[in-house]
Amino acid sequence: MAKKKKQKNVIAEESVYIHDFIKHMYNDDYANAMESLRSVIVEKMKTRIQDCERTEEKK
Amino acid sequence: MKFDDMLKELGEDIFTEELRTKITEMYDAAVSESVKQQVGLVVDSELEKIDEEHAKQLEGLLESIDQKHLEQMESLVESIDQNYTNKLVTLAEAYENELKDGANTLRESLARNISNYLDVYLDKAFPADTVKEAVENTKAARMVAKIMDVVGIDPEYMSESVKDAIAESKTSVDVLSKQLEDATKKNSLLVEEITKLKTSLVLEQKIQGFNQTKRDYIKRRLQNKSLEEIEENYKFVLEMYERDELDKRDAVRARTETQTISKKIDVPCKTITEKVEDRKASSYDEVDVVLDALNELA
Repeated sequence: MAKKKKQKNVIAEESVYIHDFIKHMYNDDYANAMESLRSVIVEKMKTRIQDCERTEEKK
Repeated sequence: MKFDDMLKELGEDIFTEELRTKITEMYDAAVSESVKQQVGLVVDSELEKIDEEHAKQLEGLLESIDQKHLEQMESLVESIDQNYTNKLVTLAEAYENELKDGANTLRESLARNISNYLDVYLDKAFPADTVKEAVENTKAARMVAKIMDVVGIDPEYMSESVKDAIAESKTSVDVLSKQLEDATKKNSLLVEEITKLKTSLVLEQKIQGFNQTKRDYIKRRLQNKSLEEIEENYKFVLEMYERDELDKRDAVRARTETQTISKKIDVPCKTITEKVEDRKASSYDEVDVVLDALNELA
């Protein structure tokens, strides 16, 4: 349950960054849009690495 | 009483007929003129009064009609305004809701699509294997650090002395691995040769004491076979050889008999001989087929 909640939070964070990205793109604020996109990618990679580590731990 | 009669009463002597008529006419004309003027004035004044009164009445009427129409128009405009305002408010609310919902849906859909696209892109850019490898490397590095902590090796010291030792160990491990591989190869070759020699020795032992034809026959059949195959098929090959020999003897006997009979009765013996030879050839073929099938099974 705790794991699921953590994962959900991460996805929510991703969603927030993506919404920021959309907002900045809409306002032609490309610098901040790129920053948001970078944050989304970082969150996604974090999730992937955490998943991979969990799998390794299970093994 | 008429003016003419009054003049008559005054005396016919004073006023002659003609004069009287003239005076009467003048008097009538003057009176009528005066009356006309007076009547005209009265009529004018009365008409003016009536006009004024009517004008006032008309103004009042117009004012009241205007007022009434104005009130009606105002109430109508107000009701129409209210109606259209209500409708416009409803429409505006509906459009606002639609816009809000649509915008939310679009935003969510856009976010989902962007997320999916990024997932696909990251899958391509950083395959799962690469991430796994990176995680393993990180884990290994962490483990090494922990081991170093436990053992108490200083990284600076390790970089100078332990590193060389590790490199030397790796070189020796590589050399030993290569030596082991060579030895394994040699060993397998030797085992193969020993097996071959053992097989040929066993075969030689088995066919020892047989005549050359029999030896050749058995060797031909069991050459290049494993020890197990030789053990299993040796008896069968021996029986096969004996059967072949028997067949050959039968064929020879039959040919001899045929030649004797052909001498006695004038029958073409060629056909029979050929048939016998055919049968002989076919029996050999059958044996070959059986042997090959057995070999395949083995």
